[in-house]
Amino acid sequence: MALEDKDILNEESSTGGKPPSSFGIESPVGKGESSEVEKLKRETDIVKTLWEGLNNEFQKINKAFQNQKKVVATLEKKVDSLESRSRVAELRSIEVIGIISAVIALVLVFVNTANSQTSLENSFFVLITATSALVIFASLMHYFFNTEDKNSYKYYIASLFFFLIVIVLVGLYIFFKPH
Amino acid sequence: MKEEIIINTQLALFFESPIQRPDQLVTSFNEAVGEIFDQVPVILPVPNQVQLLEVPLVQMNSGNGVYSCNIARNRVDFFIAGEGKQKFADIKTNLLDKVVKYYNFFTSKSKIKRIGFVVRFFVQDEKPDLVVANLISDDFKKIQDGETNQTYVRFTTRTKIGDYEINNYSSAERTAVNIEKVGEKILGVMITRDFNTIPENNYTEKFSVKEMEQFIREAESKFNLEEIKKLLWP
Repeated sequence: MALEDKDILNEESSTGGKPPSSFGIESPVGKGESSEVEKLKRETDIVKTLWEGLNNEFQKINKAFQNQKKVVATLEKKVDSLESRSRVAELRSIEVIGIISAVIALVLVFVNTANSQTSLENSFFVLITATSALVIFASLMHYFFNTEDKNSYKYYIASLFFFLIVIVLVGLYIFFKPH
Repeated sequence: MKEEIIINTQLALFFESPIQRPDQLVTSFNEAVGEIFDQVPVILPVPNQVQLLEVPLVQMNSGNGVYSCNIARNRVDFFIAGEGKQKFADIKTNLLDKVVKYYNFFTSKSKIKRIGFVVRFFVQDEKPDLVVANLISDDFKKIQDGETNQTYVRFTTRTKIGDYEINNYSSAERTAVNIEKVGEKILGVMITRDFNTIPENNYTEKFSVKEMEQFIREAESKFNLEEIKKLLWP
């Protein structure tokens, strides 16, 4: 039984603490160890304790680092999503403003032009031309600005053509209604 | 009756609150005890963690091998070794003198909640395991067949020194020592007597340098070395 074992076993009832090897105590003769070996063993014990402590600390840091990586990855995803949404919102704003401007222009310019025509048919064709121009303008605007939401492109044109068709139908009714 | 030789004495002080930088105490402590540590101290950069509080950060030694001190964050151990064939009485005066300085220095750094006083003796014998086996009852020895190979006896009681409740610890074991001017790897029995205040009690408010001296004197009266030797060598 080595001196080190004694100290560990008696921790509760003895004072503990290892005496230095310079006092000349050798380990039990049965093991044939010299005082230098004893000294090295004691130093190894200290280094081992230190190493275990540092290893635990490293494990904690590593765990914290892994958690941080997960948090950073989640945040990166959120930032990407926000950037994308922000870009789409900006494009949509430009698109909406452009269309509103076109509608206002249609009302201010083409309505006066249509009113100044001598016949109802001419006025109607002016209105059809203006609405067609608006549809083409809105479609082009949507095409240039909306780079991501391509699926809604045809629905967008269809909705604009819907109003054109309504106007055509109303015009046909006016022209051909029985007097 | 065989004569004992003192191997060393150890006085341990346990701090109430850990000392953060024991390495900064090296010079001032050495001055306080009269520059007895003339070797380069060993300082380990041990992290400040609960499980490492007892690891000695600082190891101080004297060139003649008589004095040594291990300072950890929550305890300090001061050792005085015997030279040649010295007995406890030969080092007692020096021990008490150094204890005063040692205790005064560390109480100025942190409160002391617990102490331990250890004395290790050596008695030369060619068959130490057989000698230590004399402390074991014959009935127990009969349980195992074969010749005695290794023996180690440890015994602890709880008693009092003054107002302090202590662990009164004894052990006897085979060992070999190098004794200056006597020889190397001398075979014999190491008898350890250890008196330490129990860990459950905090004596911070009671300890004083006078009490420390008194503790050592009363512990000495409880060595009972002659009785132990009579049992070992009947």
